Amino acid sequence: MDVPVLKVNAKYMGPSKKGPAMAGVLTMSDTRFKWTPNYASGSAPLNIEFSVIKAHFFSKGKKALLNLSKGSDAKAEGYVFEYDDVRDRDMCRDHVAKILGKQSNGGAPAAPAMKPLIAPVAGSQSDQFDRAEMERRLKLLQTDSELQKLHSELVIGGVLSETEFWAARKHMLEEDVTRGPKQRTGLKTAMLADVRPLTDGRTNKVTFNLTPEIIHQIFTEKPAVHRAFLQNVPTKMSEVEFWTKYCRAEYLYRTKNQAAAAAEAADDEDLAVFTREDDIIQNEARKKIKRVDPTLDMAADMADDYTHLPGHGTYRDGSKEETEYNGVKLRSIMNDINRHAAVVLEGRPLDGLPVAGADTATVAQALAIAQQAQADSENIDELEQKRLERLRDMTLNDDLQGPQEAPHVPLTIQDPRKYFDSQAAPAGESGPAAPTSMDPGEALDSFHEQLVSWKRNGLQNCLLVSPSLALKIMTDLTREVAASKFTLGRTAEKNVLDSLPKAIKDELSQQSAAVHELLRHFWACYPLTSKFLLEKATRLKQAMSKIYTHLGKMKESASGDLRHQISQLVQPIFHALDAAITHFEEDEKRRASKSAQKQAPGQQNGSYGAKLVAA
Amino acid sequence: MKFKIEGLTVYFPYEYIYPEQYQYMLELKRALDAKGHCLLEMPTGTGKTITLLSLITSYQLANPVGKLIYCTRTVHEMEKVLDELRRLHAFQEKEIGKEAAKILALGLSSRKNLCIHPVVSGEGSRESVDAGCRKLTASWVRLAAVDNPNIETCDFFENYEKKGADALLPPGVYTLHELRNFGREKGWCPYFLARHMIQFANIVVYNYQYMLDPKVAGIISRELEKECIVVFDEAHNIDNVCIEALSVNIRQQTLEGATRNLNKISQVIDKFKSTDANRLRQEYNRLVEGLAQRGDLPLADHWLANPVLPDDILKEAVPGNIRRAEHFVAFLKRLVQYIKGRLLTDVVESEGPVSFLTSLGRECSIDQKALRFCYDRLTSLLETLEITDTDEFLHIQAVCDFGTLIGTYQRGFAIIIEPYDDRMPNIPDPVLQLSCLDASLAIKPVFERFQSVVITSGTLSPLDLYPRLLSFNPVIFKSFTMTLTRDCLCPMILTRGSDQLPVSTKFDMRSDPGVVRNYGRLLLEMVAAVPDGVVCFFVSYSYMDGIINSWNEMGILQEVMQHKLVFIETQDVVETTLALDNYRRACDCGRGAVFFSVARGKVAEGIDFDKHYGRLVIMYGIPFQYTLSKILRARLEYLRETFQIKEGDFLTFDAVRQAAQCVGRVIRSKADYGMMIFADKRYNRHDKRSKLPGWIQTHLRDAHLNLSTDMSLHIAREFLRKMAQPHELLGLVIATACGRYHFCTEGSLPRF
Repeated sequence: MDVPVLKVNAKYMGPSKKGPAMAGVLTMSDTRFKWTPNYASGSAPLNIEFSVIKAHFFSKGKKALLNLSKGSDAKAEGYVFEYDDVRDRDMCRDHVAKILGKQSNGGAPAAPAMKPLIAPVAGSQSDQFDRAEMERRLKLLQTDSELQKLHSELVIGGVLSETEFWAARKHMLEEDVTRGPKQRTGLKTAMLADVRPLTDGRTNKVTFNLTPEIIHQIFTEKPAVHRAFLQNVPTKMSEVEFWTKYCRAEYLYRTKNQAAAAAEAADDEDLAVFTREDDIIQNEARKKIKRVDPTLDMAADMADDYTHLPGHGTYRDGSKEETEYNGVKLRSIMNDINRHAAVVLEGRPLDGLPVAGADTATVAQALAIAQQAQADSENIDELEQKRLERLRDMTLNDDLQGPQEAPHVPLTIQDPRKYFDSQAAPAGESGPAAPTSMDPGEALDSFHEQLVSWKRNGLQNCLLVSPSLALKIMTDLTREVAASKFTLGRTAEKNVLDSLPKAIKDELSQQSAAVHELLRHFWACYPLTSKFLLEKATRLKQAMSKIYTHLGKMKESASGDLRHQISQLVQPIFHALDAAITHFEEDEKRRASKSAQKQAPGQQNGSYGAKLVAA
Repeated sequence: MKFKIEGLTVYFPYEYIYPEQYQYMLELKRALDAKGHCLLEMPTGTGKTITLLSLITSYQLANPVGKLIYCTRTVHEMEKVLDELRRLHAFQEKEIGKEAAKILALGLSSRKNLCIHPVVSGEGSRESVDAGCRKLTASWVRLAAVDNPNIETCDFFENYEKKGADALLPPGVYTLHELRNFGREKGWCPYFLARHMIQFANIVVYNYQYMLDPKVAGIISRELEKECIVVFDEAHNIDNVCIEALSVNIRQQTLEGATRNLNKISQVIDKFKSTDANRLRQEYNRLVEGLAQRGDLPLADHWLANPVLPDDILKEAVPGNIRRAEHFVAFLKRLVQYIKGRLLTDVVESEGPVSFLTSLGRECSIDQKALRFCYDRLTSLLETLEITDTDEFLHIQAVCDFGTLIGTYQRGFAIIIEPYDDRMPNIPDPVLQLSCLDASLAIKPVFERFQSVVITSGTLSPLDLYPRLLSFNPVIFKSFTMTLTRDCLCPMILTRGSDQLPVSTKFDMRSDPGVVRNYGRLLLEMVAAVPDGVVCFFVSYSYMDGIINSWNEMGILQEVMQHKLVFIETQDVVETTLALDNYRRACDCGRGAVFFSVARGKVAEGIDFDKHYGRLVIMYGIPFQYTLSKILRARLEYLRETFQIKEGDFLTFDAVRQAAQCVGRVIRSKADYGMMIFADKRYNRHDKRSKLPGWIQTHLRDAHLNLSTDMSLHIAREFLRKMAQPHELLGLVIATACGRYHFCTEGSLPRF
């Protein structure tokens, strides 16, 4: 039976894969996908099983295409759909990827009992089919293959329900939502705004190429241009005219034709914006200078310098030079570089806005808003505090300071007695009296006694092992001790797991994850107050028994060396499982006797699970 | 920790001390005991400042000496010193209790940096803030304000004045910022408060010029007692500061301004004549009595003091020919006219003050005696005329300073008239330069007046040159070596590019495209291999400008930008400061950055590039002075005649100390590490290399000489790999006499 999981509008590109595109509706289930044309005349509807699909491809460009191919490459025969929305495409793509992945993993695609990937559980209010939630879960599963395996084993295997599985993982989902993109992308260090003209070599024409990204950078690095753009476009001139003017000014500047640039600027006041010194930058600098690190504030230094009052000091002594030409400050590449670097460091003020693809007007507007917001959010006190901290950092010599204690999280134990008792209890039970508690003298005495008794009685009544076996054991032990002494510390990073073959390792880790998950749910069921919980516990117990036998078999089947290691590894799992199963059975008995007391005896259910013995 | 040096208990705010710091304290203490001057060289990166502060404050606690006057080159160094002092003070308080450790330490700077008046402090330049302050605080303004409430005064100054002697700073350590905050809190003017508090302070931190430049020192440092201990930190450039302090230059703009000023003064005189002739008469009488300066001038009326040294100021009646205001104005007009005429020359002229005075007397009948009183007469006049906008009158001030200086000194000065800059012969820019040639002149009164003067820096080699340049006899002069637990310095001398062609900034080679490209490739290879911050120093602004433009055209700059952000020092200090701030942030956030700077520039003088802010410095070329400069020529000649210092020796000494200063910026503590590349083939020559300070030479192994770009890249990679290993301080802990633990790194142990 097919449950449609997805239903979106998609155009089918026809058997040739090239079009013409026919509008229709695409429905996907776990086993097959269907496409029905909107107009009956268009094309025959499709109804294809996923098992015939071998690979899928999607487009990176503007068109949202999905190619489900019967062969292993994109050119092979297949079905191409075009979507109106990239998000629809991505959803379908993810779904297909999942199914195809399952096919290639598990051989036969769908066991009859296979449930839809995200199974809606009827009846529970919170389990309303929430598309956004589902997307998030899907995404998480895709990024985390371990989780995916666990999910496929437990949920799709029917042991746990979808909600139960996700209930414990709410934080993962939430994190995923709040985190957004993993890292903020900064600006590129390359100077985009430094557009270089292209010549075609034959005519005198030069071409400038401006992309929205470049324009964005020009706006941030040259606020005067940004302001001029906001003021003049489109009221006074068109965008093309504006950029033509800009490029003209740039070209004149680039060809070192300062005089021509100045002349042009004098003629055209709009053009003058591009050649003049940027007053916005100057104002900004004046503001910023107040909060620089005092250990490098050279402006303050200048204000303290009375030796170089105008007319004082040496003017031209060979070590200093003045590049001021008659008091006019010329724009130089150095200013541009400094400005660029400053902007790059400030980061991208248009976070989250699609810079690419947006037109320049929106970029300009958005930038203005972002800058305003930034200016508003500055806090003087905080800056002052930071300034002082940096000063401290700059003057402190940590080399001469005593060793600092490594930062640690203090251990908090709510009830120390309980904690230590629980620690001590197993030790007390497991072994004989702990040797540490014995007085050394006492120990010596007891040893002496034993020695004396041996001397007197000989070793006749002791159980003797055969010398060859004893020797073998001793050699083995010695070798092990020697080996561990040799390897200890040097191969600290080496894990027992690493020495296992990969298949077994993967299997083990997956099983242990599954067991943990099951145990968590199992213990969460207690006390079994309702029938639902009882059923769940029973179901979980069965699953656990299965894993138990599985692990047992695995251990048995492993060869020589590995067997020991595997048994070591699974030991804790077995312990945990034993504890759970014993608890379940005891509880079972208690319940049975209780119900027996209430009702007539003999109505017990059959006992669950064979008693399993730990090897 | 607390320990004893020859019976003196020293409080040192760290748990460990380097052996050279201990040695340094020992020598310093001996100099203080002997009440003499000393010259101490200790490599950068060994915590000189804290050593000095720690010993001297401990010495102050134990002995009745005067205050510590700590002179720094820059304001940001001042802030650092005060911050270290705060740490030290906190430690002393902990050790000996709050009462006993009570000190008052403060930094002093100009009005521009201290003013909190909302309008005046917003003024752009230093001069306009000074003038703005004077407009609100001059005695006659305040007097007038009493009657006329519409006249604006400064509330902060008024509040401070009202408090009188009660306006005191409580003990503590005050940076400029804290002074301002304190001022705001109390409503007192921080600038005048700080100046007043100097006499009560135990430690004063200020700029060199407050001690060396008579114009400023005459106001600020007049009343310091003889027992003071004066420290000049980072003093490798002290000779240049001394020379600058006594030099005057007069350009066409100066003369035009001076003429304007004189016209304005004449107008005001005329006005006064009609309204308040009495005032001018009073001034005349005062001058007859020989009181050029009234002794009891109100605090705020002081402007700049006499440009000549305190001992040389004449204390007699102002000569008759300039006593009358209009006579003095005519006198100055003649002087300005004469200088104007001299500036019209097409050839470079150079003469001594004596011949200049002779021709001055012959052509405009201006005599030497009257010239000497130029400055005093002008200040008296400006004050009489109640002129407050001092920033407008700087031009005539410069002319008068010139007159007073040549009237006073006949030796150690030269007058050089240049019609244009040699490097730009097409642009006429005539300048008359009165150049001081003898660095010892300005510092002489300091040595004579104060009991102990400490001159210290990371690079004072060759040590014997400084006593000659400054003509003093230190009781102790010593250079300390650096003990290192690992080779955390890696100097290299690069002589060739990857193509094996030599690189140099020698005049005939520097614009060769091959050299420019090789220099660019070197940077490119290095930014790709070195993490965090890289600093490049060039020999001059014009050279840097040229090479950056070439790199930009060659596309090298763009490639460098693929690896790191680029920041550049420009002539605009505000822009440079912001660039530096951004540079640090780029290093902090891990993006990494390159800073292009100029040797002898502001950045090379006082900015640290320690830790990750500078893992590599590249010194492009040898920063020689422009040897064709007439002023430099005159100075070299003077040095040869008076001190028998050879020209070549001095030039090399000067260039190499600048280079060493540049590269020394990368290391500030021994846990730090950094590489230094000297990229010029001339560094490989022994005469240059041997002038590098000892702490660089000891690390300059033979394998690091005469390298090409690829070889140096290899060494750099090796070095970085080695330094990236976890670093443990291998040290010995030995018990000292006082029972405390005393830490010594491997190497020399202090003797007890």
